[in-house]
Amino acid sequence: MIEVKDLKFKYPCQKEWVFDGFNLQMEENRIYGLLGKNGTGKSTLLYLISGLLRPAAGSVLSDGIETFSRNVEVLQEVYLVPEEFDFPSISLEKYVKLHAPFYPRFSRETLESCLKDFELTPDIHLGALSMGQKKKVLMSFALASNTRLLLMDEPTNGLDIPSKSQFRKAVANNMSEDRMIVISTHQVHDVESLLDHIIMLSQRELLLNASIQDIMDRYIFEYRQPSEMGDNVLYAEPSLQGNAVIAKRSEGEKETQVNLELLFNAVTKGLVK
Amino acid sequence: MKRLGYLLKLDFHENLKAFIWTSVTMLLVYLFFFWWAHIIGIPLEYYSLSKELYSPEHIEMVTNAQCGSVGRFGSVAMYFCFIVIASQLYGKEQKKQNRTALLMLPATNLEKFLARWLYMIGFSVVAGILTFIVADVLHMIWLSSAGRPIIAASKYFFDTWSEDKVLRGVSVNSFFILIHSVYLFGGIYLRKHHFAITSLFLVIFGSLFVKIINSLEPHLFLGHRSYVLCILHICGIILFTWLSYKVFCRWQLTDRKNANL
Amino acid sequence: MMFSGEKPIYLQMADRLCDEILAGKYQDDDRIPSVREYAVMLEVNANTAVKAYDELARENIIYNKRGMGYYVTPGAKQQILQERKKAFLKEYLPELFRQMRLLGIDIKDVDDAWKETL
Repeated sequence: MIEVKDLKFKYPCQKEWVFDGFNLQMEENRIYGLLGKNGTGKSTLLYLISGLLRPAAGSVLSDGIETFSRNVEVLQEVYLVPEEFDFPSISLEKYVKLHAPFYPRFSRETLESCLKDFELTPDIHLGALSMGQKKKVLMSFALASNTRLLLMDEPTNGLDIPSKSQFRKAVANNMSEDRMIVISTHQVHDVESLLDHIIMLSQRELLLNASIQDIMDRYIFEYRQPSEMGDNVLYAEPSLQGNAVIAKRSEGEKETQVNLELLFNAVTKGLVK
Repeated sequence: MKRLGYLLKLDFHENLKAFIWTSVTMLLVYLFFFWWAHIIGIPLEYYSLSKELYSPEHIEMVTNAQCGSVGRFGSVAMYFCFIVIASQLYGKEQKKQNRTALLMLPATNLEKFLARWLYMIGFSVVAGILTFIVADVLHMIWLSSAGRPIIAASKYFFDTWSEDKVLRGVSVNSFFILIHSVYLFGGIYLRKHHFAITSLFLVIFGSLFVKIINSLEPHLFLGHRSYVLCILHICGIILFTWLSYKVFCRWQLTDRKNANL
Repeated sequence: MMFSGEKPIYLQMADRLCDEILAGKYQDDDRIPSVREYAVMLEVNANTAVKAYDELARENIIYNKRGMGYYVTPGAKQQILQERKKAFLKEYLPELFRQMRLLGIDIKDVDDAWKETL
């Protein structure tokens, strides 16, 4: 479980606080979507949870241990897939031999099944891969490490459309009850169907922290003709099918699928909480 | 303990290219010294005797002198190689991606620091010392083929670091190890230009420090100069190594321009 | 699978499975894909698939055999057919009639169009 308490953080060369009295709790057996405009601190939050950044005040705890201490037991259960990374120019076999021993629950089987999902073979050389392929390899390794916490920063960036589908399949296949996956992205559509719980950030603030079920309980998302808007509308946007609307859901009304992009716009405008 | 082994293996394989390059460069440097000494250079003190230099009576003395100068130059080059390696020990990790990879690796900070330090020792010994021995063997093969007395320069190479009195030897060598640990600290603390800035720091603060020490003599030393210097050096080594470790533990993923804290 | 805007994903998944049962892909007492298999196939969160299966089990369209998975309840096909007929009459028809009234279409026009397809 991740606990962020009264977090205060800013980058050394900047004047603005990225987080100022920020609080958040995250639990396992969930796939979190971390959404927010660029520059609102999504990556920063991921790095703080990984222990790569030190809070100026407050604490970021993983099962009660400060993440910045980079305690081995904590590190063994965290895997971060950054947006940008480098692979050494060696064969995948060798890379696995060198890196897998650090993760006590690493599973060779999972690695091979993920590679298969991504249409890659285990005998590849890391130096000969395209950026998209490298990402898929790292993702496979991350899933195979079987860490309880898996953090992904813009995982679908740089992937072509079929690859995004492979990505979803791979994640769906390797999620388990004791795992927590956090996907930070601004490509909401790519991962919508995987998410359990939404966290939306803006400058220094937690705009929204709710489960998909919770949102489905409270709001209706549908298209309405401009002439029949009704009086329970909280937010509306024009679209090809009429107005895309978020309305308050009353008891017993049929549930609708959450429109994350619409919700995001509404939340950032402060019209929906 | 096992993790230490994994870290060493990782360091070795990821830096193989740099390792080979450095070793080859040092080998060529040493061979260059041998070539210069035996073929081009004539020891200054024997310049006036140049005609008689290669006569049978003098050849052994001359070869010895040449080997001696190669040994001394070689050990200076070796030391230079050591401090550059120390300075660049974490050079790769100044890049965000590599720093992330190292910090996220499941091992304690101590294990990572120790592994990299041990790797540095191994790297330095092979690239700095073993290559000299190899160059020396090659040079001895050449000497024998050229009909000259076969004299090993390695003796002079290692002799540069020994002193008659044990205490003085410890004092002198600990001084060089101290300088080395300052370069190590510079490599970890600074963001760029590690070698240049550390050298500048050493020149400025080093000479200041020496001035202070000298002005405090004889009050400070009471005749036990080597003894006191030994203590100072060893304290310095411990201080800078400990500081290096502490800074390493506090490493972050920030893009601070000059320092790594 | 592209999920359309409005119905919650888990209901769309349940519908899809019902479609397959109607089409005869799964017969009475046949084993249907596990929750995880179905989630992977449709690229959704496993919890969503669980909800879909819970919904179908609640309506008695599928049943769970402990440790073995989910199976089609005997008579599920007829049940689904009945439910859908009910939904057609209760929801789809009123909407059709509303459109007909709006556009001034007579029931006779509809009957003629229907006869043409036979």
